[in-house]
Amino acid sequence: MAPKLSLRQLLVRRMLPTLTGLIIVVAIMLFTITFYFASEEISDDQQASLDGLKRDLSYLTQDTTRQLADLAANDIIINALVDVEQRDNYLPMFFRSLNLTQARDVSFALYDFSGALVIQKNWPEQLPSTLEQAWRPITLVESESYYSITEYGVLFSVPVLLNEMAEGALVMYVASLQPLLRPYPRLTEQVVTDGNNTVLFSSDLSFVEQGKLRFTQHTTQFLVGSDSFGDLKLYSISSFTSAFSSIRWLALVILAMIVGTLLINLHIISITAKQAQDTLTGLYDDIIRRVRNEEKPVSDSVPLEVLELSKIRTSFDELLTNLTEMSLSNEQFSNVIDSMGDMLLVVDNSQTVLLCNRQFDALCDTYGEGHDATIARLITKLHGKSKGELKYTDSKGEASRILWRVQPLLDENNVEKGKIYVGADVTEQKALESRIKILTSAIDEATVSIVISDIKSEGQPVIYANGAFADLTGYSREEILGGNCAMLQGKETESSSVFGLKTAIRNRIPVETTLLNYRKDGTSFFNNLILTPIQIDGEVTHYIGIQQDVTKKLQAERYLQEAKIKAEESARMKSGFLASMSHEIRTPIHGISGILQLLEKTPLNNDQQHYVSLANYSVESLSHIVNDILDFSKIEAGQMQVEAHPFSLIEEINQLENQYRLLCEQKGLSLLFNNQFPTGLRVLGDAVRYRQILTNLLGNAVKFTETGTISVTTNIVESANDQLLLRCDVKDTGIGIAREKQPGIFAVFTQEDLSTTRKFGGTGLGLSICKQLCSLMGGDISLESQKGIGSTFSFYIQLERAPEEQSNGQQNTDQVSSIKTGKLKILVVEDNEINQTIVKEHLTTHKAISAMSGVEALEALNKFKPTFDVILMDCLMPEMDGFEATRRIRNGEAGARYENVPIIALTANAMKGDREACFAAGMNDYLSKPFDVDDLLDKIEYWASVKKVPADHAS
Amino acid sequence: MVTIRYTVRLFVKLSAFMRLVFLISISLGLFPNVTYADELSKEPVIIGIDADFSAVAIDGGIAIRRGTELAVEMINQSGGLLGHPLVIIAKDHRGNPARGIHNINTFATIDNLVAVLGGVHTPVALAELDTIHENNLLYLGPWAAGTPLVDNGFSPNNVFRVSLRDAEAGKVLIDHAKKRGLKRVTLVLERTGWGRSNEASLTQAARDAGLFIDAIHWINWQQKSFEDTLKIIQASDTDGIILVANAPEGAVVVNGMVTLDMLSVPIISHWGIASGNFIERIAVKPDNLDIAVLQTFHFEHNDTSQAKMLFEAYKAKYGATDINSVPAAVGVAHAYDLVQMLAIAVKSANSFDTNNVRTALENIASYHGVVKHYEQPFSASQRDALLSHDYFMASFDASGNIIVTEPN
Repeated sequence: MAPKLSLRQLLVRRMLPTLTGLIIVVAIMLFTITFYFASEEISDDQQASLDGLKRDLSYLTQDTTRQLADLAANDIIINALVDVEQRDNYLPMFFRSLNLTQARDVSFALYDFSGALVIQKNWPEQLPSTLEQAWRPITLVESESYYSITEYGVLFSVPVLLNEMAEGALVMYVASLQPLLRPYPRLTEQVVTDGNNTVLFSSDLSFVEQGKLRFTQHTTQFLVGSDSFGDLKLYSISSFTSAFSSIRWLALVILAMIVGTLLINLHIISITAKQAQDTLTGLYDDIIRRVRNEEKPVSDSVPLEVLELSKIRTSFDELLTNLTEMSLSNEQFSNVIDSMGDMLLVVDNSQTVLLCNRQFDALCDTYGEGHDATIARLITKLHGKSKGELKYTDSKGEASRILWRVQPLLDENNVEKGKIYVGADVTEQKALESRIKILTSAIDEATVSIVISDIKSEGQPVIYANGAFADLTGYSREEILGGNCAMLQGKETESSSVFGLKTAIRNRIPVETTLLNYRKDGTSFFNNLILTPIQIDGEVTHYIGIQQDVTKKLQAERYLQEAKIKAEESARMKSGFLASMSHEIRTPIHGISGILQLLEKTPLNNDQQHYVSLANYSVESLSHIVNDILDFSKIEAGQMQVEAHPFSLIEEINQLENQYRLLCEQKGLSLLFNNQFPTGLRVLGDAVRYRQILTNLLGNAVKFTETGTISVTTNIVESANDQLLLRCDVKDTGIGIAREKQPGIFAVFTQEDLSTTRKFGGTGLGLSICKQLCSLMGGDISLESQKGIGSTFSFYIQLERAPEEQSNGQQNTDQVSSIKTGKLKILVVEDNEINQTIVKEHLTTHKAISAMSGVEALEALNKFKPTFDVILMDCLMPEMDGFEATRRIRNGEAGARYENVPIIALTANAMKGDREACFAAGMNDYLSKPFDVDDLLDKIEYWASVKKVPADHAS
Repeated sequence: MVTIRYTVRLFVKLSAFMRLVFLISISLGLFPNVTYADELSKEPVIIGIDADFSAVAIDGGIAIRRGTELAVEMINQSGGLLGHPLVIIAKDHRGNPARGIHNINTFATIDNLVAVLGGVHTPVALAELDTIHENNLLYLGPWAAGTPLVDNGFSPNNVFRVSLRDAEAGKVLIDHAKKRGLKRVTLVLERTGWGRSNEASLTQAARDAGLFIDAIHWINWQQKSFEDTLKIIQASDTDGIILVANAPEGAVVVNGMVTLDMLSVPIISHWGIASGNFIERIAVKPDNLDIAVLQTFHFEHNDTSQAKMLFEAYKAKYGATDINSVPAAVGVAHAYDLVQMLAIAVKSANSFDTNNVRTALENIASYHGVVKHYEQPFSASQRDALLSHDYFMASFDASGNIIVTEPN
């Protein structure tokens, strides 16, 4: 038997060889890696050196070419090519002063366009013919610069340009590249050769001499890198020893480190071994002492122990303690089994009770069967089974269910000695299970999709999903369980909704949203999602989600929305069409009306007079209808606006009275006006629209009344802030309106019935327009009527009291009509020939000249010697409209004499804003077509006189 | 129709290329002879143009070519020269004397060459004199004004000129300065044979007229800036500048004056500036300049019947133009008169031989020309058909057209 080794000896013998081997392997790897990176670095140095050389060459060629080009652009050089006779006076001096590089022996020459030498400096007697010829086609023909670096020397040529073409060439020559590259210290030795390895440059001539470059003899001693520059080859050369000298010290360091590591390891091993040896020896001593029940000597100093050994000692101590405590009392055992919640019964094979606990006794007592009967029933019922459920009924008839489990009682040899019965009361559990079953199947069968997520678990997985969920999403329960409902979301799902959901879940609050979800098959649907938090013991642990496919509902809503937009669009288009049509219709009506007015002035016989008046009446009716349509269109298009100008209420009413007085007398009707306001009252409002309403109501009254009276009652109620409420009743004794027809009378296109339309004519728009106008003016209109007795139309509108100091904004024609203006020169600018004719015919008392467009108007104003007194300007014309023409006249394009000429706008389009546009363009007044002849003449004379008056004053 | 070929750049392949150009020129030149097939069935004869078409006096070169084309067209329409159609070959010397000499040498190789018309640049013409006489070519000068070009010392002298003569021009420029009331003038001359030719004539004329010359300054071709010299002129109390330079250098002088705010100093210019794109190069509106430029001809000013006819023909061929805006009109008129006089001489000599035609040119009794009615335009000793009494001063209008301000 070999002598036993101590732990320490064993450790040292086993570990030292392995350790040494490992360190040697690591050392070899370190050397290899160091050598590799050192080589990389040397190769980088080589490349950097080559790049530097390339830069130098590139700088040399570019900079020299540039400097030479600068010289060639010198006007002395150019002039010398032209001034053949006398250039010898200045060119030689200029040439002598030429120098570009620090190299000596630089030669320069100037050649003319044909390549003939003009002048030279240091130019060599003979150059190889290839060098002599190579630059000429490029510099003299192509007008490009050129250089060549060869064994014969370095040559640069640049063109002398006149208007971008070569008229000559400036050429520079140096015999060798060697002096041109600066001799500064370089990373490595550098050599430049041509394609045949002839050395053109060497950074160290003692290292590589001029001549052919050969690498064969000392290849192993040198590291060589190469590159190219054009046709030139560039070499970077460094000797091996100098290249690797930098890493020599590194090898020494590594060697020292290896030896050091070896020694340190040896020391550590021996210390560790000693420590382990001491601890184990201590442990051994302790165990022996315990076994012998000796006390631990107190005097022993506690030895230094490592953690593992200390643990072994502790565990050993515990083991001893446990062994000591192994003697458990029987009583304690009984207590234990009695404290169990379940019933326990142990019987041997002869069914003698070996053990039973207190719960089993209680069962026997409670259900009154007695111990033996209970045991007998139990054993019989569960014979041959491993478990079974038994029902017990107590004296009150309450039943309990006990679930029994049977296990064999085995001895040490695994032979069955009897049986162990353990029973648990599952009555409550059963009841709960049945309840849960009902709820579960109710939810399962529900037609809305329901899912439950566990939000306390990672990823908030779905823990339940019902059948409707699968129907809705196409995902089976297996697929969604454990997953997250986010899998229903897709690329077009609204991120705001998703964010809302997440925020709600984070805050544990309920949320309802509708978002786009995707089924398993990729089809999308709008999901109305209701998430409700489930609280268990005051903490939200789950969310229940109820989902409904609302795609169809949303689609239906969208269809409705689209249908609504289409309907509105259609209505707008209709109104727009009507507005434009009305305007188109009005233009010819104006024509007819004007021509009729002219016709009336001519001598006519009675029949003709009658026909003309019939035609006039027809035109007026047509005009009235068109106006109604236009107004209505404007209202529908939202373009109707009411204005606020001061006017006298009594004047308006008097005018209407005058208008209808005659008509009523002709029909035998009496017309009464009852004005319940101060006659001097001036109000602020839209007189035109007010008159329109009243005219409409009066017109209807006259139209539908055959006998009796028409009365108009107007009163004003003043409220705060100068607000006035005007109320007006128009009462007639006409045909009246049946009660059932009254509610629709203010609707569009409504008269009482179709027979009324046939009998009385009209568009049926009048009352509708009145109602709209009233509401635009902050009021309303209503009707009281009895069929056959008469009607009362009542309307009210909001007005304001006119400011006292505000005078009439429009010109007072009465005041100026007395000023006789005599024969005026008038320029009529109008593109419609009919309108032009009408206006000119009305102006026969004056001298009228017409122009067809703004352009013609400007021409006429510039051309005609006599000065026009007034310009009538149509607004809409081709080429240049009236607004533009007016602006130009005001800017003096028609000469200074017309800068302030009165310009009266003529417009067929009485749209809101026209008036403002006219004044904004610089027009003085405004006439809406069809205009009244007297109006036209009044305005012309007024403006002519207004213009003249200051002129008279000035003179 | 006349065929024009410029030969520039490709001088290396010149001999081969020239042959090709020549063939093309001849063949294209013959093409319209279908029209005159009956009369002009003989081999064509050549008239050469050696001028700057691409460098610094392009307007002048084109004007000379157009005048020649119009004259040749009329000559061919009336039967050609002794029954031979006349064909033009134009070569571009780009203002470079070396190119000019090369062009003359090339013209010398062409058979049937009657004469060569020169261009704007005196230095080129002066450099060509040896080659012209060595090859015994007739040289017709429609523009270059250098005195030594005509007074060249060659005998026989092959140069005939319808243009300014610097010796005479000097007088006219100095007279104009005096008429303007200038007492002291500064000369700004280009550093070439032309500049020196004018230095001589201007100093002589100033001495005769008692005008003081403050200084003479030289400007190189293609000089980029003249401001340093202009500052010296500004510091002196000179009354005006007499300028002898081409368009590029003339513009450099004027632009320098703009920069130094010297536009109040009147400029009296030889006509070099009118031969190129002077107006495009100056940084000031032409009518803001106080500048008078020497001229011999203006379609409006020289109202001969021939001038009117030529203007109509010019408009018909080169497109309608205003009478004031024919570029470098002098070149058109001079070239036209020279070619017509050459035709007269050839017809009278009944020969294309240089010696015969030279003698015939010396003996033209009179010619009703475009510039004027010439009486004995040339003689054995007189080779300038125009003299100082034919010159006048003009100026530029707002559009840069030359307009005549001074009555003859």
